[in-house]
Amino acid sequence: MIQVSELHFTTEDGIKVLEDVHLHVDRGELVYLAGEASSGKTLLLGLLGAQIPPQQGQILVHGRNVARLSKHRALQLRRQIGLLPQGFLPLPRKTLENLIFKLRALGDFREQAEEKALVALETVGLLRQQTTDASELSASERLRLGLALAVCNDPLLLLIDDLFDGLAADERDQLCGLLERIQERGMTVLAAARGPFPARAHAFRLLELVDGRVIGR
Amino acid sequence: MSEFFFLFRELLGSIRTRSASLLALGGLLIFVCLGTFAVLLLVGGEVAPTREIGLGADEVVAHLSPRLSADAVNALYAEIQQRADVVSLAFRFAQEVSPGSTGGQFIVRTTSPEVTADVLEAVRGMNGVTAAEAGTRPTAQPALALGGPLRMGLLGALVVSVVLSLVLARSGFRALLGTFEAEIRVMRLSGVSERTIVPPVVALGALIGLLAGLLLIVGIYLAQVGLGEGAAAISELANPGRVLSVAFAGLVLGILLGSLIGLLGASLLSSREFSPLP
Repeated sequence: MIQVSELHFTTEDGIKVLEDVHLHVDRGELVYLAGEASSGKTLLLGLLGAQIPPQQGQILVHGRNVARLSKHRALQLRRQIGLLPQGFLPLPRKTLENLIFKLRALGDFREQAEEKALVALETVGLLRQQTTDASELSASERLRLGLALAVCNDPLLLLIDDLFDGLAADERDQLCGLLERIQERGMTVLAAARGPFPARAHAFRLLELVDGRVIGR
Repeated sequence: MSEFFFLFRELLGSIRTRSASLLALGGLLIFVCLGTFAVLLLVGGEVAPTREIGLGADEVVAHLSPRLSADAVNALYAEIQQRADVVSLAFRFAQEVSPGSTGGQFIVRTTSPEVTADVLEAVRGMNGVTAAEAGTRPTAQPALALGGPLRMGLLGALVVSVVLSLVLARSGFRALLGTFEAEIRVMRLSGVSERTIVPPVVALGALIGLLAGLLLIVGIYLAQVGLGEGAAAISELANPGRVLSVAFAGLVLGILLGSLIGLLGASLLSSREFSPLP
């Protein structure tokens, strides 16, 4: 599913953010990626999500080399990747309408979009909040909405940046449970976060990004 | 296609007071520009004098003896031209008027029909003038025409209104896209192509231009109805073919200008604030 080798990335200021990164994630696997702030997690996920063009090294996602993708192919790949960015803020509209907006912009008709949106809200446990204004959701619910937004068009790969941002310990645990349910449905999940990780996360592969390198197998 | 209409509706729904005011002002300036364009084409420059039969009430024709020497004709010419009540003077050979005639004629245009009789009397009394007569046809009202400086001023106003409309509409689009920023980020993150994101923005500009063009057509119609018979004074307003073509050209120009401001607005989408990642 994801195969990264000899990946390097240097910023315009000459700071080496990623250095010789090697990473392998199997299809249907749930992997956690730990890393401190500014360790390069966001950049790595942006590269894997075909949002940032790589400078050096190879990134294979779904067997496709991200560096060699045409603009059109990169867009196609992005549609197969659900990316929940750091500091996600929902659209200023109802919870359900957040998902419908994305699905309709991707070409679905209203009925089809509504159907998919309801399934995604049910998956993340936000069905009851479908008519709630997204700005009134709690931090945990906002994150769930972000997850619903990322998975509503059934991507093959789910990338999450800063998973536990602003969450209490029990909410972190619940979120890990949710990711497990998403993974059980056959989706590959790579979730980056700052620690500490709840105990149930340790049952899965836990990698660490230190000094621009991914540690752990 | 369904994405286009959906996003266009969403974009319209994101219009707030500030963006609405700026875009409306931009549209109004496009209308001003189109109005100036129409005035330049319809009122036009100097209107060509129409050829009418017979002498005007402000004209005198003096028939000269065929025996006059060239010097004598020149002296007569200078004498008539020096008069304060004469506006213009032209010489033509009698053969130009009727073949077989000899001699020449002076066509004298006076300052007004009221002084024509005095000029006629004076010309008759000159040596070498065999006969003189005054015209009776009423003098035509001069058609409304734009002088050079006014024309230049209108051209300047046209340029200024285009530039101002571009500046205001760009600010309007900046305000509008600011309220649509989160949606743009979500779309980019989800792999929605720029070919889907950009056209609704350009279409909004084109719509503003289209409305300005339609307003111009209404304006031309009202001008024609309001002026009534006076429209004939502005010769081109009395010409339906000309009016239709100017209205159509104005509409097309409005849509083009609108699309241009739409493109200008869409160029803002490349700014960092719409980047999907922090």
